[in-house]
Formats: sequence, C-alpha cells, structure tokens
Amino acid sequence: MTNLTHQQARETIQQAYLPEDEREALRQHLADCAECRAYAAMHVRLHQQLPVAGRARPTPAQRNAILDAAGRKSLVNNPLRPLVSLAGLAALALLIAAAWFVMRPGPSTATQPLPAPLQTALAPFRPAPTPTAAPDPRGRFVIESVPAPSLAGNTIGEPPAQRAAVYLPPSYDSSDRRYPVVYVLTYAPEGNTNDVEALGVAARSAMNLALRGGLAQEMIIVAPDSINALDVPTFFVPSPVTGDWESYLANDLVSYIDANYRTLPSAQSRALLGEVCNGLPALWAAMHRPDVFSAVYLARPLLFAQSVLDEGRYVSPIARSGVNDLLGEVAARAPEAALSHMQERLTGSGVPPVAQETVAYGIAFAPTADGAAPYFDYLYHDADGPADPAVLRRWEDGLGNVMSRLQPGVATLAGLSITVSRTGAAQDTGPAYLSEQLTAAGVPHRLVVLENESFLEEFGQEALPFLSEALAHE
Amino acid sequence: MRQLVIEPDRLLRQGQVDRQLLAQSLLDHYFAPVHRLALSILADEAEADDVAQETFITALRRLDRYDPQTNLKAWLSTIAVNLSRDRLRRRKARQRWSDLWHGAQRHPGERARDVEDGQLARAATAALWAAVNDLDEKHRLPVILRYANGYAVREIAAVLQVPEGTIHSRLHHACRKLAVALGEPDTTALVMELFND
Repeated sequence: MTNLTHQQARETIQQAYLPEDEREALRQHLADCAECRAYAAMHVRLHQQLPVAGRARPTPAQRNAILDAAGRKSLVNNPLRPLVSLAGLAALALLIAAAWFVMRPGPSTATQPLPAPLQTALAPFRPAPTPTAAPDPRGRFVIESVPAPSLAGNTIGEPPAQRAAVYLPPSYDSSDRRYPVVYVLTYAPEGNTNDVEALGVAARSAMNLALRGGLAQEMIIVAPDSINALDVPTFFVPSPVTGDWESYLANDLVSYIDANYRTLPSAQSRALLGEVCNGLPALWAAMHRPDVFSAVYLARPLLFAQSVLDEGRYVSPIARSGVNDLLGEVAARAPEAALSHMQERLTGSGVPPVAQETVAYGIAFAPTADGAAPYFDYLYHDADGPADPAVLRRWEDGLGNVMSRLQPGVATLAGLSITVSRTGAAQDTGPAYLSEQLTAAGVPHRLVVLENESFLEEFGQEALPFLSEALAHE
Repeated sequence: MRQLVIEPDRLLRQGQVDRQLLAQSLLDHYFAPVHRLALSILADEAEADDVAQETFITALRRLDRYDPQTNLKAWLSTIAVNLSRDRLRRRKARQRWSDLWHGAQRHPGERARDVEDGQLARAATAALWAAVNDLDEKHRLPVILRYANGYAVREIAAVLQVPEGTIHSRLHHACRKLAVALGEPDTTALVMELFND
C-alpha cells in the first residue's frame, strides 16, 4: 500500500493508531505531497496547542441542581425497554449491592429506596468540597433565572423564566444590612461581551469605580436580559407579541429580588437606569409605577424630538426595502413557519441592520392586534406609497410624542437625570429636547452633557453617584 | 481512593433506571468532557458552567428519547453543542444590538477592566485560538471537537449528525484556512519526524 490518494492520506492522519504498513504509505505520500504535509503540520499543531482543561467535576451547587432535577422519586421506566428482564434487574441489584459494599462508610440507618443512602454513602469518598473562596473585595454577581408570569401569552416563544445578573456589593456577605437596588436596562455594556454575565461584570466594575472614588454608597444592581426570543431588544414595554415586559420589570423581577436578597423593599430605595433605547421605557415604567420606583437615570436616551418620519431612522430607503422584503417572505409562508423564519432572518446577516432596528421597534410599539406573524404593522405597505396614518400614530407613540404621554408620577420622582453625549449621533437631539420640555412643564430634573463616552465610566462615575444620592439607604 | 464506578450506559441498558443513581453516574463519567466541550466552544467559564449543568438536566428530562444502543457520550455532546450554539447565537445578537445602538460612540477597545483571563488563554496560543474562532461554525465545531476535546472523526459525525466524509472534508478545509490565516511555517521536518516514529 504505497499510493495513497490525498483523501486517503488525510483520513489516515486522523487515525488514532497506524499499523506499520499504513505508516510507511503515509510517510511516502507526505514526502511527495506539500498540501497533505501542510495538513499534517496543522494537525500536529492543533493537537499540541488546542486542548483545553475544563472543570473536572461539578461544583456542589451544580451537582445539587442536577440531582434535584433528576428527582427524588424511585424507579422510572425506560420506555425503550418496557419489559424488564429479571436478569437485568438482578444484575442491577448486584451492581448496586457491590457498590454499596465497596463504598459503605460504616453502619447506616438508611433503608430502601437506595438513592438517598447511596448519596450518603458516597459522601466520604467524594472529593473534598471546593474550599470556600475568600470573599471578593469587589463584591460578587450571580445569574438568576427569574420567573416571568407577566410574559405569559406572548406569541414568540419567550421562555417563562428570564435571566438577570444580580450584583451584590462588598459588604453583602459579611453583614445583615439591607440595600437599595438599581435596576439597569442595557445591552452589552462592554462592547464585546458574553450575554448576561457581562452585565454582572459591568455592574461590579461600575460599583467599584464609584466606591473607590467615594462617590456612592453600596447598592445592589440588577441587570435583566433584554433581548427577546426574536433576538431583538424588548424595549421593556407591554406588547401582545413579546409579553408585558414593563410588568415583568416592575412586578416579577422586583418581587423576586426582594424575596431573595436583602433589599430595602420600598419605592424610595429602588431606581431605574435605562440606556439609549431603554431610556424612555425606564422613564415610562417609573412614571406608571411610582409605588415601585422613585428615581430614574436616562443614559443618552433615544427619543424622537419631532416625528418618526422626520427623524428618518425607521423610514430610510434601506430600512423600508429591508422590512418590506422580510414581510413579503413571512407572508409567503405558512403561519407555523413564520416564527422560525423571522428568527433565522433576524439572527443572520441578511437583513440590513437598520431594518432589524425597525423590526425591533415595530414589534415593541406597533404589534399586530392578535400577536400573530409578522408580529408588527409597518408604516409602509410598499416601496413608494405614503405612510399609513393609523399605523403612524402608533409608531409616534413609541419613543415619540413624549410630552403628551407624561403622567403626574414624573413630577414626584426623587431624582431624574438625563445625559447627552457631546459628540454623539442623531439620537443626541432627543435628550436636550426632553430636558427643554420637562423644564417648560416644571418637572425637576438635571441634564448632564458627557465629555467621556465610556458607558462604564458613566455608569460608575455619574449614574451610581446620582442614584445613590436619590435613594434611601439604611 | 476507591471510587464507585457504575457506568451510565450499563444502567441505561437496564429496563428501569433509578434517576438519582443515573444522575450521579452521568456526572462522574461525563461532567468533565461535557464541561470541556462547552468551554472550548464558548471560551467562557461561567457560560460553560451553565451549559454543562443544563446539559445534564436536559438529558435527564429527555431520557425517553435516548436509544441505549447508541453512543451516550455522543448524545450528551449533541445536547451540549446545541446549548452552546444557542448561547453563541444570543451572544452574537447582544453584540449586534450593542454595536447598532452605540455605534462609533464606544471606544473600540472598551472592555470591563476586570474580566478575568480564562483557562483557555493558558491552554493554547492566542493566535491559534483566534484563527479557530474566526472559522465559520461548520468548520470551527469539527476542529474544536477533534483537537480541543479529542473526539474521533466517527464521534464528531455522530455529535453533529453529518457523515464521516463530511467531517473529514471540513477538517481539511479548516486546516487550510488556518494555515492561510496563521502563515504557517514549513514544518516538514516536524511532521516527517512524528510520522516516522
């Protein structure tokens, strides 16, 4: 065997063990074939350098969670083997008995069924629990799975529990204190990060920035996941498509945090921080629920000083053609295939970013009445015609028509801060407009022009100090 | 130290399964490879912890779908790969929205200052991992399964549910792309030495 094809050579390289004759054939092939030699070289390098070392065994918390999920009940049938053979059962019994004998730690009061005593029996032989790590002087964050009954009835398969990062300040684990809570509505504040964990890291960074500078007192920070099942932002508003995200925030999440952490459970000790497109929704939530929140920080909020049409964000030719193309595709599909198609298209790279933004906005603020695909009503039905007046009103009421939607609750906030970037994009006309209108209406607030555009620094050096001052501490 | 060894495959071939015993056995046998698999795909320990836990919980819930005559490790790996893919999808979505809303307002290199270095960086060269992570998913996953986790081509085919020939082809193309990306030096001597042993 000497004349290997390239394919045979590559398959041979992938074998774990090579008999002598195959080794010789491969050697001969590699001597003559630069391409397969390069393949072999990369194979060797990858073998040497790519292996990773993961966790060898679960943490005690992971093990408990998995064993809990397994259930404490006794035997369950394996449906693929409905008929239990006596021999099989006997073998299992022998196996367990043998294991029991080997593992027995001494006299035990355990009785059948086996699982619980087996757990006990295993304990002395398990690796020692990982020693409790020294408290992190920066505080710590945990990722919670929060029941979200307010999202029930959504039509896009939004799960009934939502992830949220919960940051606990440095003294939390060494005291009995209770803390105010800041709820942060943002996406990936690092600019290059991993899901909700990044929100926890950002909260920790920001709180430590504030604490190091003596700018704020310790607070709990809660950052909920804000990307919905269609992979687009939720805007934290009620929608028959995505569910009632405002109620999830004000009811489900707040209740869960108060029930599971040492919070100061009153509106005077709860604040909202909303960044960019979550800015105005944070203000609405605080305004609608003064019984829950008492202070708001709007970080460079996105809002329309004039009409959605004038602003142009969602009506540009690219947005218009991208959205109408997508709507056409959805209309051509069976209703049951619409959701997966929307998810696929919005996750992939085929829909222009500005059209994706438009879809996200539409789903939040102009959802279809029945919540069915295509999930929102767009302003335009074709490439050239005028905007549909009825639909336009709903689009304007999203992040526009701000002053007509103000309610008395806004004037009673203990703190309202709005920031604007000195060197920002079109969205930066909104904050100044909002501030002007609030001033005219006599609503106390402050407007801060940011020189530094780092959200982490704004979070730690502007937002947390402002909210710490506004909230009641123990 | 003596260890209790009851192979989960053996338990599953019995007609009835004690779930606690099975869960314990699954963890003892497969936690490490499942965690390593998730870590190598996600490059994030916290996410790998989550995926590993979800994998076993999902497996225990879906036991009725497992055919005891097939490969248990491949079945668990398929669950772990799918959960990891879902995480990646969510991560990309979040990244996309962050970029969209913030655009040029962000400093390009802005990151949390205290993101810990992962084990990954210690386990392999950054350049090689960067090149691997730049591959598209259909090439990246076979490479990660093969080289970061030591799966045989046959096992990769079972996990990803594609033919073995396809895996060979993807590994070949991946290696070519990596060589181009890395400007691989001529390692003829090294290769000849290894294959001459």
